[in-house]
Amino acid sequence: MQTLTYRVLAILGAGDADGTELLQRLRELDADAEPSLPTLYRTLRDGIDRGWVEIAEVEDPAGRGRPPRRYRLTAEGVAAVRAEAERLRELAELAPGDDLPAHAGGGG
Amino acid sequence: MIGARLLRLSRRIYPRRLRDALHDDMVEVFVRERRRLRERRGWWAAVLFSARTTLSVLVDAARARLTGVSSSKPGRPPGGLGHDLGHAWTGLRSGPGYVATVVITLALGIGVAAAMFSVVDHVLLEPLPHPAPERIVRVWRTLPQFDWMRSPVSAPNLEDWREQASSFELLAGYSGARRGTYLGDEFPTRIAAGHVAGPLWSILGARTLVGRLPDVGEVDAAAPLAVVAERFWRERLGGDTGVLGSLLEVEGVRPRIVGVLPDEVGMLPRGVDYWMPAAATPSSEERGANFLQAVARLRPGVEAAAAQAEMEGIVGSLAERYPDTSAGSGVWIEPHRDFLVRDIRTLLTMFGGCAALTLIVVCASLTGLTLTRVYSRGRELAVRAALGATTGRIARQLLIESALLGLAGGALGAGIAHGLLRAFLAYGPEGLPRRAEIAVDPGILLYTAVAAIVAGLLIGLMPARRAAHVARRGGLSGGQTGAIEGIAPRGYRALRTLAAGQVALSTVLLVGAALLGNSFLRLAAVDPGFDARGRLTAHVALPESRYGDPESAGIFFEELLERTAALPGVIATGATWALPFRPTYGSGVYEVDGQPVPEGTELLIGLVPVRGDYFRAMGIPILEGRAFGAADGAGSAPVAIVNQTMASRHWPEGGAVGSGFRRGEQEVRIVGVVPDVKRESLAADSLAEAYLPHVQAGWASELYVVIHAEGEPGRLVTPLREALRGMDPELPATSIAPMEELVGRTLTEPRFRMVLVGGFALFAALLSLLGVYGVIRLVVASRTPEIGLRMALGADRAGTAARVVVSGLRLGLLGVGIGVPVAWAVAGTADSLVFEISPTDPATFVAVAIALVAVVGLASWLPALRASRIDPVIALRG
Repeated sequence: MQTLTYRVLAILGAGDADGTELLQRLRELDADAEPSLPTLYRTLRDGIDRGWVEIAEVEDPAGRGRPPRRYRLTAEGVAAVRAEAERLRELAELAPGDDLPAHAGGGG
Repeated sequence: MIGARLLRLSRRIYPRRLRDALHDDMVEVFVRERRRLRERRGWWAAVLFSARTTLSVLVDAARARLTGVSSSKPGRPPGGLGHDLGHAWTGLRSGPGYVATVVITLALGIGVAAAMFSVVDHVLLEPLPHPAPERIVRVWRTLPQFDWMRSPVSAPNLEDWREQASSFELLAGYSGARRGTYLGDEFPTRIAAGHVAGPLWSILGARTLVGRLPDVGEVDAAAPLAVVAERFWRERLGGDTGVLGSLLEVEGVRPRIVGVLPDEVGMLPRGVDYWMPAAATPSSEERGANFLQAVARLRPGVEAAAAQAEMEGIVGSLAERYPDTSAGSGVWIEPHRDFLVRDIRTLLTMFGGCAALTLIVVCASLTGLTLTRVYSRGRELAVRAALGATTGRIARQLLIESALLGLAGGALGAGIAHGLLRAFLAYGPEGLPRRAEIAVDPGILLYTAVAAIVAGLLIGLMPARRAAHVARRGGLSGGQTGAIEGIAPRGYRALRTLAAGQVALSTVLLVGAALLGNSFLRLAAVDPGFDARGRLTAHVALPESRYGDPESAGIFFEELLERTAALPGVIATGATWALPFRPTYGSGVYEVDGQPVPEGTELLIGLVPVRGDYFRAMGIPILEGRAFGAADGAGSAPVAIVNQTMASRHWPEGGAVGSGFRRGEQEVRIVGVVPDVKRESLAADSLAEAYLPHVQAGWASELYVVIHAEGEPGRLVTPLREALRGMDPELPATSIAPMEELVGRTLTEPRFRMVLVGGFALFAALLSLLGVYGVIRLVVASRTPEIGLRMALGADRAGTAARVVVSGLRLGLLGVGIGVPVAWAVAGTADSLVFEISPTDPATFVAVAIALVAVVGLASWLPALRASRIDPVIALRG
């Protein structure tokens, strides 16, 4: 799973969000990797195509026109993001600890 | 707004299956995000965000089209782009000639389009720089009997309108320039005063640079309060804030300076040096002194039609109450924007249209050029495909190449746009409204950037699609023969369509240029009715404080003419109040005994007081009768010399001399007839006119002196100034200009119009010729083996060349066949821009069509020559 996809799914895992909120949360996570709008919407479209994301129905009792479209994580999406998190955790456990040889430490 | 509009439009570029609700949602998020950036980080951040998003959407849409997917995989880091950029750079370096051609051509196209769009945008589209601009209207006094729709109003009538009308939130008036002598410089000069009545500054939303604006009705018993124009303040008062509170050194009423008005305040006439209350003028209390232009802001919710109906009632009741001064007057409410652009809309629309057509021709031409290059790079593309590059990847690389070229062309184009805009403002239409607002601003730079990117992608889109095909077919150039393989019929069709389209658009532009050129030549050949050669003119205005009565003014001018007549080389001198191509002009009502006019109409005649040997000084021949003489004095019977229009209107069989007409109670006898003299422009028809002896006219304390002398008239400037200074050291001579220059100025705008459209047309025509040449050359190169075979089988060289030329002529005929009807339809709307020629003049259309087809034939000749020289042996071996 690509980093941006994982981040979007993780954000939606915390609750429904519209495009502006997603952009805002992604910016907070990593300001240097803020995606362009087409990239963000490609990711959302890909998530919808895979069944991970769905468009939430939003009531508009005030009748002030259509409110911003909100996106929601599906059960498949929850499973996918959990699986990816597990995979990343396993990868992280493979990382060398204090016994790392001096020449591989990146000068740290 | 442009970014959101473009993004919405980009929906059509995406493949159909991607044009869904998500795209709409993205646009809405874009709008919200841009608003947030503008509010928090300023407009520049919003502009950058707009440009970045627009670019990425366009690239994404183009990529989705080419590869069939919306992009590379989601979330993929942008490392691939750098790789493609490197490839694109290498690709471009291999063709420096191609790169230079594309960048320069694109820069010219984009520069011209951006400059013209900037003018059109600022003058026709941008909201006016005033509060509630859509509610600002002009309120004109009309005189239907003379067909005058835009007349000024007197201060008392304006005051009555303001008291009685409920449609207006604010109503004010202003007058144009009234000149007075300024004594603040080393030598006395003339400066212009404007007058304000009512809350004009509130309607305009004006703010001062320094100081303040006088309140409505604010009166200073010692001196009227004035605001000076920024230009005058900087140039004549040294930009000194210390002048606030001081008196302006003008002759007569000296106003007190309270503020400085910025030059960029809209609506106000150009050339006014300072503004003071209309109440300070002697004529402000006269109901018959109509000198104020009325402007108003409608109340919210009130339509112009409702205001019109209310004002008609008010004007009608005033006409009943003051029949001497207001009878026969009407009223017309005109939206201010319509008034501003009334004369310029067609011209600017034409310029904008020409620039857009030129940019389209540029894109079509460069698309053809890029397509040709794709075919000539067949070997390279095939090698890349063989090494594993996907067709999508190859297409993407070519798109990046053209986008880079587009950006380079755009950057250069922005500089060209800036230069062109400066030239346009310097030499363009004199009456261009909102001139101060026109500039290359961030909005226009954004348009330029978007135009550059779109143009770059347009240029690359079709070639990129074909590149995939070429790479698959493995089209390789044919060794020493120069033959090119791998061009499918669709490729030919695309190239031919592009070339024919360019010829069609060039036809439209060339027809326009030919019509304007023809008009200009006809205009330049118009006889103005006088001889401008060797004539110097200068304006002399006598201040009322010292030359208040006609007698003293007459004595002064008589002596001035005597002194100038005595200057070496002078042949004749004269003076007039209404010099051709100068703004002063007067008219009056007249009747001819025995020739009644229909009820409700009146006859109008232009009145031209003259003095001295005016007709000889101007080179106006006396056709019948005599010139004025010493016998036509103040106490003698009133006489006049009329122009041919007047003479033929009332005495078509002759006999004007000795006849007469009546002006009020005065019987005027005609003693001579002169030709019609052009006044406003060379194109306008002359009114009926009567020249009157200045001494009998009894008015006009300011005259234009005309000196006819041997040799260069400019040499008389200093002697004239000295003669004037010898008579009155405080009196300046202004508006000094040779008569030839005044005539020449009237041709400036038509000449500029002709040169600009001609430039568009020649540029487009050159590009389309290169396009045709490129297509025919490619055809010859790709069919070299076939041509070689035909020649081996006995085809002669002349026949081979002729077949190639005929294929070029077919393209030309197709383009002209499409272009002529389009030009016909477009030209029909441009009647106001041509002179003495029909905009659908058949001869012009035929001449342009023949010339264009002939030149297209010539452009095909070079490839034809090459085809005829093909060696069958080498061609077949290659």
